Amino acid sequence: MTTFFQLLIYGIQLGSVYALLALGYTMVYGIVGMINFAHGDFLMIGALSTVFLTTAFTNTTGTLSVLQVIAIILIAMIGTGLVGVIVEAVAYKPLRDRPRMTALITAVGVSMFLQNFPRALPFIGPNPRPFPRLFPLIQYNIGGVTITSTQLIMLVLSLLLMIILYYVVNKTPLGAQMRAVSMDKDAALLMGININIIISMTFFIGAALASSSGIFYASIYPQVDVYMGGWLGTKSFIAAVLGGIGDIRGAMLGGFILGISEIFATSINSNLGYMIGFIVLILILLFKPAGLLGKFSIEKV
Amino acid sequence: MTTLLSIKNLTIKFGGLVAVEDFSADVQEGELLAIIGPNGAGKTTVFNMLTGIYKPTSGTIEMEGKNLVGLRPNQFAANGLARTFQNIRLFHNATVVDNIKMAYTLHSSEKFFPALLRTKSIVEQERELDIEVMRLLKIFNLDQQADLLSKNLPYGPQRKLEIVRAMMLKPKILLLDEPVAGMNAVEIDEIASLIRNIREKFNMTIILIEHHMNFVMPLADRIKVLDFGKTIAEGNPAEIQRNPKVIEAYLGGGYNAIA
Amino acid sequence: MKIPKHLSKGILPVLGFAAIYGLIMLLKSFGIANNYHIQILMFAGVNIMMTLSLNVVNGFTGQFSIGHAGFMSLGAYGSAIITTLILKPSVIPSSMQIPVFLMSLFIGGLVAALVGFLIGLPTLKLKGDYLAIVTLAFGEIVRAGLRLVEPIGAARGMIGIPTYANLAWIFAFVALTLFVVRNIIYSRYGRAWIAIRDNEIAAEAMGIDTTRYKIISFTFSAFIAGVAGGLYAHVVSFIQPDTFSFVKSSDLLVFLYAGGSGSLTGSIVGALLLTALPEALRFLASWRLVIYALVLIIVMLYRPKGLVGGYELPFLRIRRKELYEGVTESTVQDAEEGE
Repeated sequence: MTTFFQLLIYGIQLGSVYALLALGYTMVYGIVGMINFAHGDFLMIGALSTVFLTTAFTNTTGTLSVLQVIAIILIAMIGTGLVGVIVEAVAYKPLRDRPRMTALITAVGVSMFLQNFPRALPFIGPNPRPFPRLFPLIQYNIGGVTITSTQLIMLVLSLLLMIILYYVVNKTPLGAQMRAVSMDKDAALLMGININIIISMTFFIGAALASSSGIFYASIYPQVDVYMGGWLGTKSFIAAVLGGIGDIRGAMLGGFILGISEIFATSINSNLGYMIGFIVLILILLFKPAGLLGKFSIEKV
Repeated sequence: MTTLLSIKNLTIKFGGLVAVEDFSADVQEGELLAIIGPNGAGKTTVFNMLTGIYKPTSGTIEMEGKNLVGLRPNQFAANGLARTFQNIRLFHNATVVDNIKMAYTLHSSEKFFPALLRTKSIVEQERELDIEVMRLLKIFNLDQQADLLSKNLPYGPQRKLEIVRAMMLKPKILLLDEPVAGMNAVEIDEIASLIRNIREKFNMTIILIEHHMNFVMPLADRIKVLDFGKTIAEGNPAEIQRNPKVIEAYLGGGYNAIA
Repeated sequence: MKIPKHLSKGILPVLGFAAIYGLIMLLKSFGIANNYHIQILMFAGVNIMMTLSLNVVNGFTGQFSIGHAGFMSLGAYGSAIITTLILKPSVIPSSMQIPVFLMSLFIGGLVAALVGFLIGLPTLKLKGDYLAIVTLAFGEIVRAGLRLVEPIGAARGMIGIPTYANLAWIFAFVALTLFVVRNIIYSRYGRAWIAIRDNEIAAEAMGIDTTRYKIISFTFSAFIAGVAGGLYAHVVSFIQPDTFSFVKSSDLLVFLYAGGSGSLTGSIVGALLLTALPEALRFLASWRLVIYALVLIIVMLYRPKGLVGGYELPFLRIRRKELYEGVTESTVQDAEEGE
């Protein structure tokens, strides 16, 4: 029984990573209508820049204070967000009126660039680096189940970010505009909404969330390299789809479902863990073809 | 006169909304039945049910004794019901000729493996198809534009092409959804002649949705008027024009119910 | 001197292919082209076949398959099992090697086609993005599944596949694939696929059984991919499940759309160019993939229809007037009157 709860904790931990990453995917899909295959690489940028920021900070002061950790995380998130905005402006914006596949292929190119450009830089390179310990590590034992302070902090921070996002999208004017654009771009334009700003904001938020996801992921598995985002990106895309792509709650739900089932499946057999995401996806799509919370848009005849 | 299509009590509900209620008609061979009514009355929804795109919540559609409800749109087409669309749905990246050829898929006897090898038989079938399509295009005066991409045709010929494409299915009943929408008086006359030609030459049975009363009244044998999904009037053009319920339904809509 | 059309369609391209092959062999004998170049060409040939296969489903039928490497994998393993585990070179007479090789390719294609058919049945009803996800999942499930099968080497892979495939075979198969794909496109099947791509609702309304034609498209495409996979296995002699991952599938997508989807010439250009480019850029070391990525982004920004932009080489398209070649006026009139 304790194993069950132990695995559950790990599952929720991993699930929050997937959820944060899936959120960016789903927001871009819902508001811009494209699948940004380069999204996973924002996770890597977040994790990698945190490594360098930490080195810079510890060089000056020796150890990290809480304020410094917060500063590092914020700088990493904002920095990655800006990268997202730039990527959109340069590579995706010109293709907005083009067929979907064109943007998708460009996204493949962007992903390749984001992975290999840092790799080619001498001070980064292809080798994995250790990720610094940002959060205090205190173990708590509750009824035979071990929880660490790292896990608790991560969980709290992830939930905080998700709540903030949910609030922004559903309760603020900015969020209303974002939802308007996701429903009908042309109507939103006619209502005086600045589409360009909304789309830039979407990418900013998505990329920032992805980078936080990278920081949390690297806190669990403390090794970062330029290629870490690819596979995670694919998995979070699956999470977004099984939750219902375009729906924020769907992304969160999908992320947790994926994380929890992956941990449990891996404990049985590592290959099963590898495949479980796809199996769960197909099972869900068989019964709910639009994902758990998704809806198909009706084509007018 | 024989009844080709027997429509009984078609009703369709979307959630709580009853889009069409109790639509019935016995379509006679060779007649032109017009369905008119204000926007949103459910006319296209009726068409969608008659071509299998929507499944009615209740009611039957019988063609020669066979109930077609529940079949897929391509099976409706196979049973003789061909249509055009309110918003033109041509295969825009294909040429005029290819658009017509695509409607022949159903009747074609080209087999897969011979087609892979492009045997003599396949080439012959392709040639015969091409000849027949050109013949059809010539009848409707579109042969000069045969190799143009359909998206490059002007609006009027595009609508005409949609009708010709539907004709290629060799249908028993042709369903035209607002065939003259957005056209000027000259083009409307052309289509009216086209429809008369089709009726004469092929003894085609036609069901028509249109808003232009000047177009509908001279052409229709019978008219059914829909409003909010219900049939509010039925009769020949003269009766309909005098019907107070019809005039009321159109009041304020800018439509002159007296043609 | 004007070349009669039936010659330019039939004999000339074949001669052209043979000539190019001869040229390459000549360069090799002079030492200008070496085994490395030949291998690149062989990979390019396999990639052309894969891209053509993807073009059938994505380009012409307008569906969204992004896991095609899975079919390649099934074909590779399917044919390799025959030639390496069952009818090994050590148990068959050397005169039987080529027939066994060809048969194994055929079986590899069949396996892929069968799986394609079984997957297509339930999934081709899904719309756009959902179909994409399922095909992606399919590709990965094949990969994960193969990693578990011990007799074929599991995750370590299968070694010792006899290298039956050489450049001549690759050329032959590429030519054959171009031939059959071109033919099927200009038949009722290709037209039905294009109708489905351009306007699926109208296609249904015009009597086209869209589900049936989508499944035919998918199955046919899977067969080609399977044969290509088999050829690949017999070039590299060693395959493992991870070779055929989403990375490979996305490579194929890039070849297709950068070259130009819906165009057979585009598939040739895309696959050839983008197989050769990373090799040509090897001298750039770690900057190689960066440049490749930039080239890709620039091509999509400035030539979104693909490098070839819908153009088709003369022998890859069939014009309407060719239907009337060698046909006399009277034959046409007879056809018109025989109504």
